[in-house]
Amino acid sequence: MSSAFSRRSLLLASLWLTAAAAEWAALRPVILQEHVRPEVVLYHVVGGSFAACGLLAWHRRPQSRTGPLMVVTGLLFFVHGTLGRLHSSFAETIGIAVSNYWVITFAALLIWFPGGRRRWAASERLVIGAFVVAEVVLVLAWMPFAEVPRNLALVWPNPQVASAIDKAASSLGFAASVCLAIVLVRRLLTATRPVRRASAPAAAGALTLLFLGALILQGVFTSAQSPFLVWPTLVGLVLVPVVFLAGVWRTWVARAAVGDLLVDLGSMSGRPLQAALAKALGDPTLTLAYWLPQFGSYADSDGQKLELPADDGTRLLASVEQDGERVAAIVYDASLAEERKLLDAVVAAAGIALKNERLGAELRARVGELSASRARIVGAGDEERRRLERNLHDGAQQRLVALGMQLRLLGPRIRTDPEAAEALVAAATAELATSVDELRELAHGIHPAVLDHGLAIALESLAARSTVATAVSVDLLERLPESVEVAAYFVASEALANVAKHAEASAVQITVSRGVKGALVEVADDGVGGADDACGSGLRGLADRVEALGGQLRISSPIGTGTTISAVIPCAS
Amino acid sequence: MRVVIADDSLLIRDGLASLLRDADVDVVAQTGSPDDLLLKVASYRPDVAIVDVRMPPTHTDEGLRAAEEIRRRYPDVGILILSQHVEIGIATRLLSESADGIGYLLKDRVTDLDDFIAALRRVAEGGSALDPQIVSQLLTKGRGADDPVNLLTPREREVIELIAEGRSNKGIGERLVITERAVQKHVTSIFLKLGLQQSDDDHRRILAVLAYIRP
Repeated sequence: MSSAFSRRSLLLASLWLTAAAAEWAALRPVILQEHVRPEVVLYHVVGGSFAACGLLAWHRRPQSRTGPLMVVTGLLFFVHGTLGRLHSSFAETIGIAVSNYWVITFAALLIWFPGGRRRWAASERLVIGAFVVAEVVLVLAWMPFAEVPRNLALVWPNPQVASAIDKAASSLGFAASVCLAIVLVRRLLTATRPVRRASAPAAAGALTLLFLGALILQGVFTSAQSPFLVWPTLVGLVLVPVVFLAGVWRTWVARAAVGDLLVDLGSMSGRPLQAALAKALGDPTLTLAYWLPQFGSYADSDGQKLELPADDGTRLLASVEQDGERVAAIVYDASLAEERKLLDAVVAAAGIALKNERLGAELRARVGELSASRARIVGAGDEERRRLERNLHDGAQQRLVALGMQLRLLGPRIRTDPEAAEALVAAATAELATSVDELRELAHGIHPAVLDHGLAIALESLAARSTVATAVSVDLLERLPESVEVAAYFVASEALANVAKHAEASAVQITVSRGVKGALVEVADDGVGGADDACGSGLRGLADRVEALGGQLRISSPIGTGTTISAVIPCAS
Repeated sequence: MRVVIADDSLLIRDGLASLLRDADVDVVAQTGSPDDLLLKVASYRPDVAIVDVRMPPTHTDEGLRAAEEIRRRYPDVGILILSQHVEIGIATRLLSESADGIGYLLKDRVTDLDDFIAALRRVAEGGSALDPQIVSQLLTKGRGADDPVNLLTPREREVIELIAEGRSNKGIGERLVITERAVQKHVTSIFLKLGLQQSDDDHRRILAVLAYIRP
């Protein structure tokens, strides 16, 4: 990585030196003249402009071909003049041969820009081919006939043939420029907005190339050069590299938008998130596709299934991953492909937002579960109170009223009818005993008083009342917090009730111990199994009670091998 | 006096029947269901139907609805509603039409047999009997500072509570151990303070008071 980096720095440094030297060599004789002609100065600045702007663009965007293409164009522009200054016929001959190669790389730059495409269209290849024929093939064909100084390739001096070839070459070059302009205009018309905006430098370049073609054509056919063609051409050639550099620079400005994006994202999700991403990337066609692992497909923010576009080179896809798992994809315009860093930043930002969204969704799910559980607890409380009221109303209260009546009946009979009075007293005493029993049972249901003596004793008495043989094993060094004891007691009590009702068991084992996570209560029977908390409201209520204390209730009930209900209840002390 | 008892608790039903028979009240029928109650009332035409609010099948207000049905079909049959606890809402519902021949008492009032029989007799004669607990709830419930009820002396409050329970001047006098004349003086003062129409008629009097203190 670092060696690649330093090699590139070295390359760029040497290119800077080369371009500077070439520019100085080209410009020095022009500006040292007595009468400095501005159009001549402009012409000699073209190569430097291309090279310098190209190098700056290269610095900024090492992955992009825009910079290198501009540098090559600039250096090729220098070649003829520099080789000519060597006063060697051989060098001059080569210089003549390659003098217009820069036009080809310039055209390639215009077609390529703003980059990101992987394939060239047939029309584009045809245009480049035309330029190659005009500036390479026809020049090579022209040289054997052209009587120009120090042309070693001159074989059959023939001005007519040379002129004809020259005319053909410049006509072809102009035609290629027109075709290039048409290709670019057509692309602009069909392009997405970001591409259109990014293509502005290419349009300026194509216009310049048209002027250049016309200028050459005029020179070849009329031996004159109209200032209306010269000036726009020269100004265009000098400024187009600057415009290209500005185009490259703009994406740097765009990258700052990612910062804003990160600030905005917050808890953004769905459509606003997609819009924010589109804004940051300057691509209104951007689509955020959510990956649905359970369906193995993508969906848009409304949950509609989304077919990702085929890889036709106009739409590209960046995968958003979290912890190595695909969570979403961003489908974007191919013109953004060279904005690697910008894309990475936006994808990372999307990842953050999606993570927020997922955490939010998880939180919402938990809150939902919590309120459901709370509602069940409140409901269970109400139901319990109703049951108590009904029990009191139908039981103790009725009996006491009846008792009052019996005593009332008894009063006048004590003297007049002692036998009847005795019978009434006996009946009233029995009634009273029943009432006391009922009240005791009821109070026990509200809060097991037996817990006052510790969980072990409470569980023992629970076991003693159970219809199935129940063994209790409590392994605790000290007493548990009261709420945990009550929860543990009810876990055991409800589990035993279930055993009696459903399990057809012959033995039950209740185990209580203290673990790392808190108190562990386990009730295991050897019955038929097949219990689950979805079908029993008692078990669901138990789970709520345990979860309310931050614990967990697990039911393992394979059919045929008995049921084990285990609760882990944290003991915050 | 002929009564029908409707209560789903056999214990209460039998106990109440024994008590009432002891007090020479003619218990002509007992039942544990509201439908049967309507049948019994239809066939025996008692002076009073003693009805428990909670009856099968849902044990909510079946007794009350049966009582309303009796009132609609046989307006001359007095109704004494018995309940384990009294609620203003039910009292309001009961008295919304008229207070004639309507009683609403806690079940345990039965143990004060003389008072209970008196109340039963009032209802049988077309008067009213409202549980003191209801009356005191009505009197204390959400009264503003400028409510004329606040102007009543403690003795007058006792008197108005007893009027609301449905007692006559004679009954009030016996209860408070004062002369009937003294009671009448208090009653006049109360009606004056509350701006109510005076009436010698016992149950027009109770209606006026109830209308005044009802929420």
